[in-house]
Amino acid sequence: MEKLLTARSRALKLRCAATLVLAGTATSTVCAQTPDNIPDGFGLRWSGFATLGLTHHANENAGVIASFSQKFPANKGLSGRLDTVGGLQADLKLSEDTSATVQAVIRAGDDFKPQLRMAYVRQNVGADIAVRVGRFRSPLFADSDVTEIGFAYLSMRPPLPIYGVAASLPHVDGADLQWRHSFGQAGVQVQAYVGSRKGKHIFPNTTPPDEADFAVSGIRGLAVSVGLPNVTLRSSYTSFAQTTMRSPLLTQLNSGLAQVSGGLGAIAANPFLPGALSASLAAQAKEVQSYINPYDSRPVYMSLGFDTNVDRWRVIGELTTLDSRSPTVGRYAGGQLTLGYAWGTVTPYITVSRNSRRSGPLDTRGLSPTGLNPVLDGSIAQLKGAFDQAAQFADLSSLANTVGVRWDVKENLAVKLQFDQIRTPSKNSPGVLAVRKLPFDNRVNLFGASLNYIF
Amino acid sequence: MKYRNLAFAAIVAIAGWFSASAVMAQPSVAVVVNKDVPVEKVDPSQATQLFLRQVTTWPDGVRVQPIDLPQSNPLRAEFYSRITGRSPGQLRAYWARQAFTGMGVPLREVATVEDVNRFIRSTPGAIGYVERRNTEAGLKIVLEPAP
Repeated sequence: MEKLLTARSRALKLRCAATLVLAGTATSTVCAQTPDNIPDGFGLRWSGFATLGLTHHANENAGVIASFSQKFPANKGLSGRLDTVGGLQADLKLSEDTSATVQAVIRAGDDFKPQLRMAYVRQNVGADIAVRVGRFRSPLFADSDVTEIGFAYLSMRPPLPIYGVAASLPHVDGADLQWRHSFGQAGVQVQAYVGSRKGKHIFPNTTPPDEADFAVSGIRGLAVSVGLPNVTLRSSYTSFAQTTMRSPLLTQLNSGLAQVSGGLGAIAANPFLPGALSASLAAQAKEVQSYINPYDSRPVYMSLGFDTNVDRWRVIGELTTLDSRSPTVGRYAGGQLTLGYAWGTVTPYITVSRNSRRSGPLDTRGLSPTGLNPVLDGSIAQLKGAFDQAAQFADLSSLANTVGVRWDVKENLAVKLQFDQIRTPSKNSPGVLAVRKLPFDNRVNLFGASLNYIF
Repeated sequence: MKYRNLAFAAIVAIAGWFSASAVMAQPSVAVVVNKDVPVEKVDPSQATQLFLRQVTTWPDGVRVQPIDLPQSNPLRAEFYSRITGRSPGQLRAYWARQAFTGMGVPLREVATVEDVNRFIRSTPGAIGYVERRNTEAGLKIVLEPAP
């Protein structure tokens, strides 16, 4: 009965997704009849995007995810969960310089639960400046704001080693200021943004996967792009004042740490202990206390990239860094390079991408046994085991080699075929993959096909 | 002999069809601006920047007002492939990026080349593309691709 209900529920969700796409098609027909009114006229404009993507791989222990907020990974065999997405957008032009936009998205990887990706009011201030207030897509890296809009970029998806990490922040609630100006042949666009974000972070290594409440406050960022003939350069810097993760499992862990820290402090306070030992235990208690909320961080994201079209060649490159300013999450440097060549409407491409941890694993020496209290030492050993495993799971280092082809069947319809080989540095390092337990087969050969449509 | 004549006729017909296709494929697109725009010529890369809204003002500070034809008009595909060097699909991908991230809106479209002419004549800073043979008075041609 339960299976039947689940099957019905899935069928209903698929029907909803199909209805959304069909509604969009119908709407596009209506829009096409009145192009003169939109976007420069007043009124309502509907638009949307849809990707039907299928992937296949044979790795039993690793799922492929677009971000750590994705509930259901693309597991072994055929799956539509990685790339299938639909979005519907309404733009309402209220006056010559004022507009409002709402965009909702459904993803197969999140069981087609609708999510509000954009909801803002935009006000133009003169010819060069615009201000948006509300929710807008996150511009952390060059393709961060279009990861769900498959038609907008060359390959099936932005490289997972980099964007699998950055895509966990799909939108920002706050405000941004856009400034555009031309200097001769250089068109400069500056976007400054502030805001916050709340969401979920999935830890795939627990059964069932632990869903942590993920909150980011104090987002401040600046993205600058310069459009020159044949090449666009882009650089961005974003810092978060604080990122917190809270879940029942993390609360349990914190409680254990607090008990151990308290136990160490109590022993250190024993007046009969030698002074040096007492001081050492007090320091250890402080160290253990510092492990509480291990995934809280204050990350800084930076990127520097280019996108160039020369004759039929397309070259895209980007260097990225992520400094979480947290010993658990670590510091990363990454990059990607894509080369494509257009034969009419068919563009084959190759991409190499890497993201490597540049800081050591979490130092858990604070969780060394005291040799004074067997019960306390038992708890410390248990916590150390958990932390050592957490440190392994926290290593996001990954690399991917990709080859694919894009065929622009129509002006608003593209078909893509792609093969990715995704690897992590070792069998004990899950990288951007959804891995239940370690060690695992740290290579995924991922075949994919997608249909990308916009209206 | 009869077959030889037929073969000759077929060759002539095929050659004629190819010649007609070649004539039909001759470039006919020209980039035009409002007569008050203080620019006499643009090169293809500048035209691309103007139509991608990467450059938003003319040298006199007037806002650039690009105008587009609908997807169904064959001149649109010719313009994008010959002037910008990109396929309509690539251009649409560019505008999808702008529109679905809220960073820009696609170009305004009008239904016919006559509407383009009318819009450019009446709008300061306007730029568009038309069939060369349909260029009207009051418009200034700033780019004609080499044959």
